[in-house]
Amino acid sequence: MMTNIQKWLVSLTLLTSFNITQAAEPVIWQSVMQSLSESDIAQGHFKQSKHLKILKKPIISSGDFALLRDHGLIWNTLKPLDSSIVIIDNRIYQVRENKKYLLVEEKRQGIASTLLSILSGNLAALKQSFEIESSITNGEWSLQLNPKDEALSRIFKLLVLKGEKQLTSARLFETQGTQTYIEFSQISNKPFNVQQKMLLSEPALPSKQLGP
Amino acid sequence: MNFTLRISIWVLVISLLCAVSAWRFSEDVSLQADILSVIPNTAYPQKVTQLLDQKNNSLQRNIALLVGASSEQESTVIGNVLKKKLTPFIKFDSKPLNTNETLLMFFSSGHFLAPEQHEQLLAEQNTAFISDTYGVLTMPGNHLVEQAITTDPLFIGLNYMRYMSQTMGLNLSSTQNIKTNGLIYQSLSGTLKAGDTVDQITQINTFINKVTKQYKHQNADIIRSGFAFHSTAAEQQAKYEVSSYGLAALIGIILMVMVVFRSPLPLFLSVLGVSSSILTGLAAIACLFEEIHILTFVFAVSLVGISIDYTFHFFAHRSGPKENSSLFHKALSASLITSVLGYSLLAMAPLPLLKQVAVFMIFGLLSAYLFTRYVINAHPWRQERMSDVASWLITIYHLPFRFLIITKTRLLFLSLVLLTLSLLVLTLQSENLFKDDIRLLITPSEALFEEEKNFRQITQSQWESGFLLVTAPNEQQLLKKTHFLDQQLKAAIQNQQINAYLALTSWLPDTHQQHENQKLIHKLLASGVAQEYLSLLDYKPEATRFLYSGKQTVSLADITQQLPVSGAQQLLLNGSDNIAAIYLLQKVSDWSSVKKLTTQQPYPLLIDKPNDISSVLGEIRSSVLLLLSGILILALCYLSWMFNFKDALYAIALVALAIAVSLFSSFLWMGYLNIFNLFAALLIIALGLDYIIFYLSPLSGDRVRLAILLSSISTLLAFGLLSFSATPAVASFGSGVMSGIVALILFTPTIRFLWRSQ
Repeated sequence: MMTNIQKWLVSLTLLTSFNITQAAEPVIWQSVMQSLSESDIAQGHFKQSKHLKILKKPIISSGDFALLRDHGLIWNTLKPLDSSIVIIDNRIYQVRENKKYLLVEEKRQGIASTLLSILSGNLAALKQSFEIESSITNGEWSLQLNPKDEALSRIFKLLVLKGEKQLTSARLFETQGTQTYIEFSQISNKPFNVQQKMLLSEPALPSKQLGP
Repeated sequence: MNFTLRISIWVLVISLLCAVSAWRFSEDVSLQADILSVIPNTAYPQKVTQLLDQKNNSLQRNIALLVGASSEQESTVIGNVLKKKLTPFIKFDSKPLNTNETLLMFFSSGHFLAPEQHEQLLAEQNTAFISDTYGVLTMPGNHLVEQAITTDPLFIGLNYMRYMSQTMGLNLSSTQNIKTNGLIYQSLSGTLKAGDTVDQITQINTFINKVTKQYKHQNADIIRSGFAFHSTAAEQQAKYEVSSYGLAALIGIILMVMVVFRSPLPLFLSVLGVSSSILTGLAAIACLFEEIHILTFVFAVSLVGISIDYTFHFFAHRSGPKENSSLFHKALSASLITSVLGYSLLAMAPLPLLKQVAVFMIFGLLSAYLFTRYVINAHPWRQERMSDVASWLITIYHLPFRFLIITKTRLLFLSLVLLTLSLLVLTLQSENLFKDDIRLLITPSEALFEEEKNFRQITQSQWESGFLLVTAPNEQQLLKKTHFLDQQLKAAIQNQQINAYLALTSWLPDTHQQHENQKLIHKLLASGVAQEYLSLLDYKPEATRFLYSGKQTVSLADITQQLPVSGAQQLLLNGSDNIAAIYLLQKVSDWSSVKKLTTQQPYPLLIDKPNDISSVLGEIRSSVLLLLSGILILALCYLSWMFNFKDALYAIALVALAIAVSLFSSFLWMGYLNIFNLFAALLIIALGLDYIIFYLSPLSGDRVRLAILLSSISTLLAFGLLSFSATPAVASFGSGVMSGIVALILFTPTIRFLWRSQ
């Protein structure tokens, strides 16, 4: 039987053909939604390379991520330094001693919701904010996301997602020149551990109210 | 001295007064159009009042515009065109409010640490600190990192902004253009350059209209915000009303005089008399006051109504068979004395506007009296037959009173008067009848109010009119005091009693704290984990240390210099020997909790000028009610001395009845009463006593009726028109006087034809 994560990746692959086979889009869309609704969890490893215009060399980091579809994401950097952030809906939290503290709350569509939509394969949400173009070369599919939303276009110039049987990479081109390249690997639908469940479910702590 | 000589001297004196007024208005006297300034800041201590005046002066010249178009590019083009055209009038802020950049520049200096970071460094949790910093650096799509990393690789500024944003409930990234309803808006803000506000705003409005038309294909939408737009609209409205209503009333009166007296001379003398009264009144207020409110002129139009009565009485007295002149002069003097007594009491009211109106009226009436008594009277008049129109008017006017006399309804009428008076006394006790909210009286320029509403909605700057004010002798003491208030307000935000607050002092730790923060950061930079992090960025530790070793400390002045002149800079008030911080509050759901704050350290003042003024207005309204009772008692004594107590009592009862009718009809018309209805009552007393004195005098009944009918019609013309004013305050006054005069026309003749006839 196909695992949930395989269904999710198949559906993401199917997405890619929606521009090429415009007439068949509703059928594909239905099957994508159906397969997405059957799978809630995804976990895997990432390797990120961030090229800031101002810095000579890229900042390379790696770690693991855990996704609760359309709800939240734990982005756990392990190397070179330990650091953990949690994205839930439109909020980004910092994690300290297994407790999360609100870092950013987006009032409009922003990075948090975009990242969640990409990793959740939420085409409907992505279509609202991006013009999507797809292509297939040598068995590798590629999705180009051009922001049409005013707020997002201030952050991103272009997003490129690539994959074969599963999502393999995402490249984020920011307006100020920063490029972030993320490679995904070992994606599975392994259940969450206690700590992950806690981070994605428990309410955040308020910022401490001490005078500066 | 003959008539020609007297009138020449008179014209000379009036011309001199005219010159004095012109000189005073060009040199020292200023016109005030702000309705809130009708009442002084008596509610606050003197030092606070001085600071608030300073704030008001700068606020009055603030201008903010939102320039919208279909795309960002078009909105920028329109914004630039507008900026170029408006530069002669507006000193634009160097750039639109850009809180992010300002904070980034400032709070990366190593003097600022958010509480949790301060706690981390104090507990030497350097790894946790750097781990958080690294998380911010690597977070995908965090576009602020690129901006901050060169000056603040530890992202202390970004973190401080986050802390501010969360604790103060503010969205600090107000830098971007705003997209709403399919349009992209950019904001332009600045202050009016020195010059005449009305002229400047008129030209600004013209340019805005031109640019809107020019770019209508780009869906150009320019939204105005700023006190100057409203005050200019109010001033122009008041000027338009004074000139147009005044002209209409004048034409009506001229026609009436021509038809009734059939000669140009009475007309000429009536117009000269009224003009002299107005000029004398004007000269008096110009010499006695430094600042004159525009509403004074609107209310002073009532002088036309009273001063013309004197000439009407004179010419009516000259119609028909000859009468004893001393009787006429006695009645005229009595009429003047009662009016002057009434207005003298008004001059004691604790309200500059009322003082100005009283002075204007007293001197104006004195001028009308002198002109009638010593100039018009000097003409060798012939007694003339009453005109047909005049006789016809008197006959019609007399009809209802014939009916009253025949049916001998004296007792019934008296019962009606007493019943109405009892009702009046009872209803005036009720506080619910009156609405003292000053905002209800402001000129309703609907288009401007709509724009102001849109502006607030688009920019989400929905601050309450009430704010907290903390004063201290110097900056450091102010920072110490406001520290307590910050804690209380942050708790109020968490308890959802207020949505957000904004104060400059909340952004700044005191000097001691700033030093401590800098030491902690330098200690962190020396740690291994920080050096490991910085090596990832290729930053040398010494260079980074330098980034966080800027100025020794940051002061409030440093912060205000970075802020737009027309914006947050005005949240700090510098007095000669004190300094004050303003705390703006957003969406207060529980005002009692805010009021409670004023009873605790650091004892901030809750300033809400419209509300405070409204409550002062309520107190003044109560004193004006007492004043009215005082005037009626004084008039009762004077009339008792002149005539007899019974007649005087009936006379006062009639005047009070007219006031009751006036208040009742105003209540029906507007749904509430305000202080301006009581000002109307004051005029009704002045006119009512004037009519009654002539009715009680032994002058010919027909002539008295003619004079009173003419003066009533002239007053109705003047005040009936005022009830159409767009300014609710003026409309209340106009409608109140109009209904009161109608009541006087109907009731006052009963004193002669019903009361005395039996």
